[in-house]
Amino acid sequence: MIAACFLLLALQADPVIEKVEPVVGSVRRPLLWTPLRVTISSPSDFTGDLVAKSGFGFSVARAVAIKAGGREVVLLPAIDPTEIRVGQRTFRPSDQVVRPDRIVLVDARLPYASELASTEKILYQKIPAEELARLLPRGLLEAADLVLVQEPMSGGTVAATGEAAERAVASIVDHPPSLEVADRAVWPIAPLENWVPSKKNWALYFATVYAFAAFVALTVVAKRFPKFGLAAVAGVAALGIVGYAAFPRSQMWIVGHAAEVVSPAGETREHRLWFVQSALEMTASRIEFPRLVKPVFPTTGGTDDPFTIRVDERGCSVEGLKLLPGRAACFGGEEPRPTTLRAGEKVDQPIRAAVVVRAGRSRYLGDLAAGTVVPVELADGGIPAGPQFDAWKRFVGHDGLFGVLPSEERPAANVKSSDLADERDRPPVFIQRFK
Amino acid sequence: MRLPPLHQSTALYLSWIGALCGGFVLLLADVLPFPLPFATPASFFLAVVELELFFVLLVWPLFVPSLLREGCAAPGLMLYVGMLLLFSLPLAMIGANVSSVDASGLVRSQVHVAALAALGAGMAARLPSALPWYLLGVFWISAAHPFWFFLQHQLGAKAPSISVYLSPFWGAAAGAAPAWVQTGLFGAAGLVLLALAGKRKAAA
Repeated sequence: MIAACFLLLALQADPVIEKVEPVVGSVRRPLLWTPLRVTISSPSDFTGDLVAKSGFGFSVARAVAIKAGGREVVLLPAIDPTEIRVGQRTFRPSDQVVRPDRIVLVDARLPYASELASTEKILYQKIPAEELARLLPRGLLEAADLVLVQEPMSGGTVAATGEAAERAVASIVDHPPSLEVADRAVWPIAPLENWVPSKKNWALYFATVYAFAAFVALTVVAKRFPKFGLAAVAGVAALGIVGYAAFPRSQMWIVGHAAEVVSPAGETREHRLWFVQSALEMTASRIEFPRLVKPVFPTTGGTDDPFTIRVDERGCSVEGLKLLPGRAACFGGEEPRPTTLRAGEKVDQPIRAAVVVRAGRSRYLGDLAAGTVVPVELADGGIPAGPQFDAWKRFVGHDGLFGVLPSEERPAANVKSSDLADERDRPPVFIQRFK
Repeated sequence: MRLPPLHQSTALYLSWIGALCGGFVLLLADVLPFPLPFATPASFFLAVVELELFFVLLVWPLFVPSLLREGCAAPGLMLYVGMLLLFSLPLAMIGANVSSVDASGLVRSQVHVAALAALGAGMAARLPSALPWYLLGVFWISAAHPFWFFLQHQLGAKAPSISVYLSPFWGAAAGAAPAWVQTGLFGAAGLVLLALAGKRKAAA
């Protein structure tokens, strides 16, 4: 009885989930971000997490703070949400969904926004400008086929009039490509080694230097200057201790792959994958990413080891991620960036392992020097382009150019974690879409 | 008792450091034409300790007669063992770090190595003429008995049930309590032999 009273009191103090609305409409796109607009009120002061549990086994959490008697509308990123939770209260999203061929998001400021009527094939969904500005640059509206905006915005299509909007809708051919939460194509580029690279390299370097130093100290110094024999022996031991002091301690390392995708209009977005690995079984307490990321699983089975993606206004952090040796975890995200390279009839800069796609047919071109003409007609034959092209080819589309920028693998410091021993970036991929 | 000239045993130290560093290179640098199945982060520390054991059981006793001829008292040989462990400490710590072995595991493994080094030194100091038999015995309990046990496990051959537990290499891989028992037995035997060798030399 007393326990029941305590439970009732606890529930009374908890905030109430008043409304949950999917920003892109009641549609089912389970492999992509489908953010939720959650309205919460609370009878007392509340500070805690609003959590969306995903059908893939992980959760997305956002910190909320509500004053007593207050009401908050929170934009919560979610992927295939099965349960929304705040405090002890839970909410299950409705299974009633519509199945349109196309989802078009419309900036609510556009004069014709209220005139657009959804049909069975096209779902028009109005979105306030403020939400658009917060969601679109982070790639959170990827579930939409088209986003009509009033003013230029990365990822949006400017359509000032109803006619321009109709033309834009009529020109949709495919859903814009994106990294999906179950994405088999990216896994062949996952690194295969089991050793933390910096530890392996440091251990090898140390062993070589230590053996050489011991040889010099014991055969040259101690023999030639017997008075300093003990000092030479102590020096070798001291070198060993100093060598260990500089040895990296953590077990987790990350390999990053980036693809710079330039649209025909010249807008550039960078898609990035981070493969997180550990030499031993461990649970990473917190991994901070510089942008919003989603997990990328090799199958639709998701994960059996739950973890939480905690989002903030810019980046996100992954908490409680369990890692096993030889089994990487993958996270991917996108964001706009300034254009550094363009390709039209010719390539501006040299690129390696180039592949050109024309009318859906691809051909491996190999390494291209700056100024090389990009072929318009493709002959039959050629060699396969390889796993890196296969991982990113969705972004090339039916007409485009793929290549690897001529740089080496280099150390990086994009991700922060106390468990991180090493982070490296593989040479970035450049993709120019022609259509 | 004066300190033995620790810094003059160049060959011993260089063999020790060279063997361990060479082991590191073989395990990490992919220099062999085939991959070593045991060269993984999880088993790296064990590989380093097994290498230490191999050295102190089979190579270290061969240095003992020359150290005794230079005037070192038999119990003083433990100072050389201490020097060997000092030199190998950074390598063992790196191994423990790679394999996430905690400090107690590191200490236990190094005490195990010291105990077996004491046994080897004791045999070579007290019974130098029996050194070939000692080496044969090490081979027998370290390799032949575990192989016999393996045959029993795989083919049903009859083997003494304690076969595998005698091996000092098993002691390095075993859990804490059994390893301490083995360490204690081997270490005590080694120290008794060293003490007897010291007494005999003093009497002479």
